[in-house]
Amino acid sequence: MRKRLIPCIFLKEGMIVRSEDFKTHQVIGNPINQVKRFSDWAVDEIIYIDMSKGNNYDSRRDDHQIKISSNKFDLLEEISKNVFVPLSFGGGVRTVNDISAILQKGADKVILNTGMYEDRSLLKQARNIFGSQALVACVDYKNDFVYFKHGKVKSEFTVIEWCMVLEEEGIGEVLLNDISRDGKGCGYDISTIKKVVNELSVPIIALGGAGDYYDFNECFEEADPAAVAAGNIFHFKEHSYYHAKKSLENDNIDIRKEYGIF
Amino acid sequence: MIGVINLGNSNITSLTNSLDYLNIKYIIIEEANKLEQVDKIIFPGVGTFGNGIDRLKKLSLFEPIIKEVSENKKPILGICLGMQLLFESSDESKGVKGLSLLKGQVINLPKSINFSIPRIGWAESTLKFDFLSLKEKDKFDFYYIHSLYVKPNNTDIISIETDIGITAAVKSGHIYGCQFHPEKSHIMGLNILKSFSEITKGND
Repeated sequence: MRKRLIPCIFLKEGMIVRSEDFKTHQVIGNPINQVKRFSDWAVDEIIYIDMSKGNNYDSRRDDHQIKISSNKFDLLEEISKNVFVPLSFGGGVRTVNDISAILQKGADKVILNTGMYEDRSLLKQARNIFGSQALVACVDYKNDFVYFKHGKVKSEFTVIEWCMVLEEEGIGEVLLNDISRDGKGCGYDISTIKKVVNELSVPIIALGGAGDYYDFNECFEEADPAAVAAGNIFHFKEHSYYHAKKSLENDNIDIRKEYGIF
Repeated sequence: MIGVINLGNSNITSLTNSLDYLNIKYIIIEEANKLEQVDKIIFPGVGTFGNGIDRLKKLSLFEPIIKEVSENKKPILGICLGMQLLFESSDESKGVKGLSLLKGQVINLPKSINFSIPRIGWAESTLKFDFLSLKEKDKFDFYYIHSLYVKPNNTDIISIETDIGITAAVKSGHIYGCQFHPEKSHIMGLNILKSFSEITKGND
């Protein structure tokens, strides 16, 4: 299997935002154009997390100068029309009906997080209906403990404990997110990623801390996850995806060498 | 006109988005009489083998698909689980009989250091003989997401292989199947769908 490099898009009220410390949000653009761009670049996969509260967008803002959809699912439907690489969608998924709606709107995988903690039967139910391959767990953690509700609620689970539960109950992949590194650009949390990669047999996607291309190389070389993901770096640097892939290629990381159109 | 089988439990939007983008005309098939109106079939699917067959039977499509493909020789392209259901049986759902349009079994992926299970992601795939749009060049990357794979009795129908000899695509006359997802494999994958839409009955 090729190692994957995955751009993440975080949305709030229909717009792409920059995240730092899991709180600061700066609006940086229109998701439909950006996702289309990612798909044109032939990225390996796209992760898209909608952090809006509830499913309907707050439409009081009218300063974006562009048409935005009125709710999460409509926007996903618009976005997925132009994506011919795998698309994972997360944010506020609480029920099997949510999962079903997201898959029907064109996502290939659904990212679960707090929903699995609030309803401890959700993952098992979802696995039986949709299969493991459609389910990704986002594990937000800080100092070895797992947090829920967008980093606000500290749980009793350590990262390994929670990951073992998820694997046991049939998760397909784990998106491991060190929230203390969010937006910091200080590099990945190699030691935790390495530990989880060794303990689990499902694919691990590392997120949190990418500041320059070398961080991707280091993460693959030191911790060997199936994939690395990042947000900000792909929004603020020109042709960043291409350069990041080239940097991995130069270090002989086994990646897919497809560069799409620019 | 192409018919896209909708098992109802799986996401066919990715596939129909691709067909829309390529301007390929299709209808969604959820009942047998619609199957008669189409000249080609795309059969996508996710979930388990047993559940897939169960859905086909509930929609009264099990026998009609066999008839349209084996008697009326309509070309069919099975994708992922859709390809697996073309075979006789699966480790995943013991005792459940598949469409049996192709002889062989669906078996669990072996443990390997090359991949985790489910086996998810892009993998180099080697073309053994022409498969729709794929010709000459012998290696391509495709997107996979699966835990089982097909082992045809007749290995001569294996058109593409990946990794440690895993069946990636089969072609037997007008019956095509791919384990990878063409609709998620960017331009290489879209070309496969386009090429399937262009074949004509008796010219495969």
